Amino acid sequence: MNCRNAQAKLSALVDGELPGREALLVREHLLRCPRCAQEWRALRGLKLAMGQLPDVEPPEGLEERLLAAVRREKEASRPIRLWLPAAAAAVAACATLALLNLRADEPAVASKTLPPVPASFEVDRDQAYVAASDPFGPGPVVLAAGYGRR
Amino acid sequence: MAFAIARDGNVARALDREHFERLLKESYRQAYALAYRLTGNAADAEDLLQDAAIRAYRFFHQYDPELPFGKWLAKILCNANVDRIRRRGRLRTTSLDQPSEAGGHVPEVADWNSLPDRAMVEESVSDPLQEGLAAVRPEFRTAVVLADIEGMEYEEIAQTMGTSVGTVRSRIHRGRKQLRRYLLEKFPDFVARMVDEL
Ligand SMILES: [Zn+2]
Repeated sequence: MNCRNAQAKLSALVDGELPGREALLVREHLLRCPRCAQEWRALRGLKLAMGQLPDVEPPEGLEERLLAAVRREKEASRPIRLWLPAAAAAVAACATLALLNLRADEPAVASKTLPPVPASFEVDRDQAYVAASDPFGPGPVVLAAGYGRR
Repeated sequence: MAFAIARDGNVARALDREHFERLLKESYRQAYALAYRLTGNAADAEDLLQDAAIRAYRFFHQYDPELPFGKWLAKILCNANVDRIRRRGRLRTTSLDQPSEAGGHVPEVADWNSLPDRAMVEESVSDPLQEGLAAVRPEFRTAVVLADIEGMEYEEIAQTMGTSVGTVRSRIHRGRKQLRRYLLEKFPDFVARMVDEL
């Protein structure tokens, strides 16, 4: 094993992530090469120092602030019929029924007496959900704090 | 009918929220520590953790209880951090990320002005290592922090960062080299002590 091969594997050796045979070869090299051995010591020292960094104490009140943020998120993402006043909820529920009825090609009895269905609203919401569907995706989806309350 | 569904859904969501909050309470301290090491200051760490907590809540229905919640949250947090840095327009994805064994030598960057988290360097005043971490490329820094502070194995880091073990190996190696170079330049005494204490 030459120096370049050995150097590329030093971090993995320090982390105990080198397969046995490879580890043996690198160790063998370290016995004969002071320069690589020095590098290995330095990397090991760095890892040890990192491991000795003091624990980070969370700031005062962090737990409460996190829970509050999650609850705000919950409020913002509630389905329409849960956050509107009762009367509006009834309208929305009937509208949903009406939509279901329409899809089933049945007469939409309830819709005759109701204001137009806020269809654009539902579409906007759904698109937002689709856009937000991958937590590990490349782009963040940031919803306004008042999202869903218009 | 619609109301009955709404009520049942409501109960299910309330239980879900309770469950989520319990898991979050158990995990947020460690997640905060990770966020702090990745961002280098308390304000950004809290922002990042809050972002991750909200994402986790939003996608809680996708959470697989086989995986410890803390690991899942760490994964979301690392991804949220990448997004955060991207938003700042400072993350450069280049061929630097290829495993080093693969081919020609790629010089490690020594021009600190061009490095991604200069703001982070200026904000972290407390610790040479923390300051040095800020000078390391974000992907490299994340891998090193997950290995050395979170104590993860390469396989786990690969899962957390959504990449291969080979890439993790390379990121950690380059990350440590960048970190060491920075420390040698700015804190030679600290480096000398670090080796003495072995
Ligand atoms: Zn050598």
